[in-house]
Amino acid sequence: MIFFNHLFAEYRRKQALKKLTESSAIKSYLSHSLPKGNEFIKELEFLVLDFETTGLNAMDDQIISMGYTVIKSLHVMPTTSTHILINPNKQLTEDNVGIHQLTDDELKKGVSLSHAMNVLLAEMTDRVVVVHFDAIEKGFINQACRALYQMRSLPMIMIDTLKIEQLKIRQTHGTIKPNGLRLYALREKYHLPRYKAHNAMQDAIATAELFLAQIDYTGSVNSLKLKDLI
Amino acid sequence: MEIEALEIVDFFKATLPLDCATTEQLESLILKTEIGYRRKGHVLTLNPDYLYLVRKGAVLIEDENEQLFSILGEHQWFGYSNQLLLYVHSCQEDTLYYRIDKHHFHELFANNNTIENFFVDANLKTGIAFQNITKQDNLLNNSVLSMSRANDAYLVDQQTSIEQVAKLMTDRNITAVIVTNNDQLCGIVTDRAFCTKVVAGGIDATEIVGKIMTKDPISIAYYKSGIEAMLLMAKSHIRHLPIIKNNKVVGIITAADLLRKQSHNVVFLINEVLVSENRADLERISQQVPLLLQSSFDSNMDEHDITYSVSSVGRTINQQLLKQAEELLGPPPVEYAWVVAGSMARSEQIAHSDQDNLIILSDAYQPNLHAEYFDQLAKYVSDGLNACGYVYCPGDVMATNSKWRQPLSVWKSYYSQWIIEPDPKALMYASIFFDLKCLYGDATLLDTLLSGVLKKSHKNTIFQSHMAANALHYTPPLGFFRNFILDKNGVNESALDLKKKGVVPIVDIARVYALSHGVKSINTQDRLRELVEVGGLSQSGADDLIEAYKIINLIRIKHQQFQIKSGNPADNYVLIKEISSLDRKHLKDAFSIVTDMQSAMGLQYQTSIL
Repeated sequence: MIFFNHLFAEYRRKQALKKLTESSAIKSYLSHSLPKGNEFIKELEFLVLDFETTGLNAMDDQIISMGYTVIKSLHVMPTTSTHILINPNKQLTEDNVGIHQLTDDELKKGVSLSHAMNVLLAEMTDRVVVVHFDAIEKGFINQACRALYQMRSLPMIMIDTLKIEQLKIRQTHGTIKPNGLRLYALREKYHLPRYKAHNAMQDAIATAELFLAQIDYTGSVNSLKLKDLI
Repeated sequence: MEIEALEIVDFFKATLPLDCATTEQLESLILKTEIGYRRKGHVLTLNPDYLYLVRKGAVLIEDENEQLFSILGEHQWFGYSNQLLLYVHSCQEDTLYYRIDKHHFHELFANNNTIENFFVDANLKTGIAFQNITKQDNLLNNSVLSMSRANDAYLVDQQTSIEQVAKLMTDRNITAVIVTNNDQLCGIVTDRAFCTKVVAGGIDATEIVGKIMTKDPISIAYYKSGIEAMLLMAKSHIRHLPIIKNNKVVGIITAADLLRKQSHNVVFLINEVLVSENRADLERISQQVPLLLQSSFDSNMDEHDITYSVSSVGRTINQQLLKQAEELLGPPPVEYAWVVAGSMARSEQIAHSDQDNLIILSDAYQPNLHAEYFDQLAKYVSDGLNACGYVYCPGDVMATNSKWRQPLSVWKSYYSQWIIEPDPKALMYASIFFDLKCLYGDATLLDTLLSGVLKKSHKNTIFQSHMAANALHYTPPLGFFRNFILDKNGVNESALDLKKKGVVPIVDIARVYALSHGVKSINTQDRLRELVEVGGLSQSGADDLIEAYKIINLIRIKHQQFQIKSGNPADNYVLIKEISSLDRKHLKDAFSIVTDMQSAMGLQYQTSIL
């Protein structure tokens, strides 16, 4: 399965690359091959990502901030942690301000989506992307690529910590409690600390730590390969 | 990057000695910080280039003889000294840790004595904490005076200079002094004051200590209990209390003093063993092993941790007996290694068991000169163990038997013979003599022996086949719940021997695979996990066996602690009606896993052609 997915993603990457002539962030991203299934987890780099958006629908809603951090040699590197605010085209509704504590004024200082994507693509190069609940990040990245680069979707390798847990529960015939798969519930399950701050950068670190815990719990962290996780 | 927004900054600020670092320094520190995670039970491989800090969880540090050195929790550091790097650091709980580039750290704080000295002190303190263990009657219910180190090492006159006090605290390795005026309590100075008042507050070090002390500190009357002291400290957010008797200072009690006296647990029991003075002490302490099993079970400890704790206590008793023997008989005339076998070696004991032990002597041993010494030593220890409930081995595999008290060269020839000519008796010995752990003396003797033996067993496939065939001797009673296939043991007619029929087959499988793949570990679960890494077992095969092992052992522990609670001696015979329907289902699954693995092993090692 991973074999086909990877092959297909690689095929699409090469096809998309052919269509690009001028040098750009997207071209540079596409000119690197994607991480391979038989690479060891301990040797790979991961970009752990968290978006904050104005809603769940990638077609109508917008990304207002991106937070990320890098995992290298099975350790999170806080020095790489970054938070990018994006200036949205629409005004925020009150609901959103409540969740993110980001106000219109703060976001006006943010960068454009196209600038943010250029930064993100550079960070994604040669790395596996890790998110918690991939529907959001995958949907919004693809939507951004449609709008900015006229691509149907972005070839990438993405791991979802929520799916890792779902699979584990299914394999052990466990049951899932309501809200049991939310990031902060899962962190508790792995005895990770509770964080007060709630922004995309801290959530990216929180997801990165959860990911480390999940792979350590496989019991074979030294022999684990990328294909074992997808 | 907006590093100041990260949660790590707050954590660093609340961690000693970083509380006196500047925000810029902390931000610079984070640039060289990495976050790691290891699950409970895992041994951490420390990189000497890093300083480590526990973010959440607990790390247990043991020295090379598996003696407990320290247990660290949140905000505590490890890996700071080269000497400590040699010790085994394992995760007592799921642990999230920070590791910081050591070089960068020391460069950053080169001019900050508080921070640099912190690690020098910490190094001494953690060691002393476990050497200075006081007597077992000093529980938290006792008076604070009886728990304190009541002497005048903590007292300084208020006219003493700050400089002198700092030197005195460093020399005596203490974290606080009590300031007096004509023997009357007038203040307290903790190491923090040097940071907040002297360094940050810019008070000159030649001034008198009265200038930086906290005036009229909270104190406690000498007759108050440890529990009261603990509550007072918690309520007032302090860690040191001067003790007052007749309006005079008679001592000081610290949070660390109190911590060491807490509850009946494995650390406590081991501490008791370590301070025991004679065999009678050890016999009395040993009687608490069944209670340890019970309290561990009641507090929902993991099966692996329970067996590990029980085995550690046993090993420490054995070591203490050896120490006593050497005190009695004088130092040994030649180097020797005291080695234990079986479940104590594998850290898989759940109660007292028969003693299996042996001595490997250095080849400098000369029977006519030295036999007498080691005969007496073995007798003292073996008798002591028997009195402590580790009864004599019925098969006479004990160091008191001169056959099992031989120089290294003789041991080598024993093994060669067992491996080359694996007759039934040799195989029986092999299953005992391949699970060894050195408890005392020169451990390199055992290492030398075993590394040679592993090389031989690793290559010799005929020996492996014989071992595998021997390991199929006990089979799990698959039809137990249908047909009640039970031991023909009179007393236990309707009972199941969970040890022989459940635990032993898994231990045997793990040993056969470990020997044929050169895996050095001896704990069954360690062996199974490491076998996955060297390709000896599949991940799922090993996981299944570990799961089966845990299930069977947990039911066995449940059974034994129930017997202990009802005042009966513990055994391995579980009555069918005792097992809940859920446990029966689990047991059935566990047994079928073992049976599958046994037949797979039989095929792999071609046991049928023997």
